[in-house]
Amino acid sequence: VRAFRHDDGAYRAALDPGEGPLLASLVDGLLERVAGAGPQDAVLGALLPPASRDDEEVAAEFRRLAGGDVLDAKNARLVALRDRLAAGDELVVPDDEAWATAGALTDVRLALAVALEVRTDDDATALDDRFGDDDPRAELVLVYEALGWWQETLVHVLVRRAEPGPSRPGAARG
Amino acid sequence: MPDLTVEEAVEAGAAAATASPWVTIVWNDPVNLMSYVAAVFRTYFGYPEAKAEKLMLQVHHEGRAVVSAGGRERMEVDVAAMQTYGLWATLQRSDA
Repeated sequence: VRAFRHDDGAYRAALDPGEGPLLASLVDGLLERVAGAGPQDAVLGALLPPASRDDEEVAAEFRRLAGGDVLDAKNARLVALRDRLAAGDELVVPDDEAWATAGALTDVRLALAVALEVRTDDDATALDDRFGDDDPRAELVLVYEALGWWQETLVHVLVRRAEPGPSRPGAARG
Repeated sequence: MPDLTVEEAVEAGAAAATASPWVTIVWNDPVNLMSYVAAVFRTYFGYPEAKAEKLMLQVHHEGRAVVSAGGRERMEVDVAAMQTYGLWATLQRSDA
């Protein structure tokens, strides 16, 4: 993957041959996992963590009121990302969906972090040496790190352009 | 990282929070990029760059930061927004 840039009215990132379908299938796998997830699923837990660490009533109430909306929003933007990745040799994202793309990349990385057992900052730092070459997760580490770099380039352009994301009702723009 | 009491976290994060019944807390996680977290605080809350950066660093170094304070329903909206952005957010009573 190549760095995001803003060009010709949209956010764009070039994809090397084969990357689009590969990443699209990764996103598709996440969508399937979430669709079939039971309430204890670790990936689901990464996308919708408990809204309280010590008060089950608060967490349950939040899940009942807002959990569906949070997951629906994540699902919709993952579907959009998957379809754009599958489309060709460039990822093209309209301005008003750039934040959703950044969020979707976060979700993909949160899910990969479950598979890679990244639970602490130290885990993340030590990731390069964590799995042997014969472990299939070694390749996932490369994908995880590439997606982190890629998202960083997107955030850089979002900030430079002061692209508005979903905002708090009534919030002032700072 | 230091294990702050909630009172200390509230004090450090939002001076006005002690007067509000509930707070939204964002927790450190090993996945989210520091640049992304700061950008989320800016675009969602409308916080100035310096405040967003300070809160992000507090999350990173102290493990958590109080990012907003208010009534429970308002905090549920903020937590839902933070979680939609992919951050780990919780709500709790400010005196809990």
